[in-house]
Amino acid sequence: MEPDASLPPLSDELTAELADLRPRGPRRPARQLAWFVASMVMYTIVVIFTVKLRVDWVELPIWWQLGMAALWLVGLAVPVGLLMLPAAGRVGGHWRSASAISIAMTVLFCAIGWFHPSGPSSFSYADTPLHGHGCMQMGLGIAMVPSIVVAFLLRGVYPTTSRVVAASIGAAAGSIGGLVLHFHCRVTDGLHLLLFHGGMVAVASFIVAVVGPLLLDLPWNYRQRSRGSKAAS
Amino acid sequence: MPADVKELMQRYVGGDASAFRDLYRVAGPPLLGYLTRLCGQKSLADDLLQQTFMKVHRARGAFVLGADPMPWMYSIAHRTFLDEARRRKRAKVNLSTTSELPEVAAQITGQTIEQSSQGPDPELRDAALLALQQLPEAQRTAVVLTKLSGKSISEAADIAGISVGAMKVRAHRGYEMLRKLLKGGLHGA
Repeated sequence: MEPDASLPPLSDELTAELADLRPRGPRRPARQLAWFVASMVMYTIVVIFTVKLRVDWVELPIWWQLGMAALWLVGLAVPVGLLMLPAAGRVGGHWRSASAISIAMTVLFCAIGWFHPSGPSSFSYADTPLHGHGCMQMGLGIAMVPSIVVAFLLRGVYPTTSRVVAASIGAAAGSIGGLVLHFHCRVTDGLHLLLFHGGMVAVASFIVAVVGPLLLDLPWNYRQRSRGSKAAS
Repeated sequence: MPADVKELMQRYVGGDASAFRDLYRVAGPPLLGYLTRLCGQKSLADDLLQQTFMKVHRARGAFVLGADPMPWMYSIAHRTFLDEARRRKRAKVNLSTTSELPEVAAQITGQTIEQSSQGPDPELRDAALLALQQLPEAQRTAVVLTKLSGKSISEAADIAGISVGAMKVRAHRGYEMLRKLLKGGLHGA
């Protein structure tokens, strides 16, 4: 192939790296997704039994408990699947659909708490609605692990849409926190579930949207950017 | 071309350095043209192209077998341009205090005015170049991708990381503004 005269020569840094080029396994999205979902189910089970199962578990309808658990899992697996599995012939996945589904699921999780059934051992924060903020903290803490794992798996895949992708990752990871809270927290009043269970998903999405682009980017890229910023100042 | 690029990318990810050099020769010119049209300076576009390929090299593990690497590489080039534009914006005050002369502007073809002696109408070409650089960054990107690089609206939206609707609006507004600027410029001349 003839060299193109209008192209600049490769940089010295890149030439040096090419001299020592090693084969790199390409991304295997289906395998990544299967591994991720399996490990997150394990992670959720371990966390639920660490923080203890809710005491009113046996008093609530089983269809509600399992149905909600399935919904929280959908909130995790569908957006992550859409982000990980590439669109036909593309490197990246369906980020627009992932973000639309994340928004829809967040709204659903906020709204569905109003229909939560109660048992004799269930609890209500109706008089002091802001007292349940521990659920927010716990949910956010639990959501950080899947956020970091997904961001690491998708490093370099989304160069221009990292903020939107990060927000979707945050909402999906928030679903893991919500799933744990669903099995742990015996508070069943709608406002608590809206503010601290569904609301936690929205907050997780916001936090990961702020810090996630750094995780989704490659270290070399932000080293370059910070070098540029220092030169600018 | 995409079939060649796909094969070259696969060989390169598999550890074939000569495939990278071939990939650079095949994918480099359209990316260089795109970057030149965006930033308006050939030497800056050269620098951005090198950074783009460095990022491609670093991110090669994100590539999926069978995928067309070009839209992904365009996205990386676009990100590189945005980072540079933001860096330059921050450095605007510092740059203005230097005594360096501005670089010779590049044409839509990516060549400087002195380099190029062909084309339909030099006056129109210069006016188009000037008008393109006067467009806001988002509209310039949309016009360059959809009107000059021949990308579909959907491809252009993916590269710029926005919705298809937003890309349509930006391309339309950019094209309208470009037409107004060209009309005004040519009438004023």
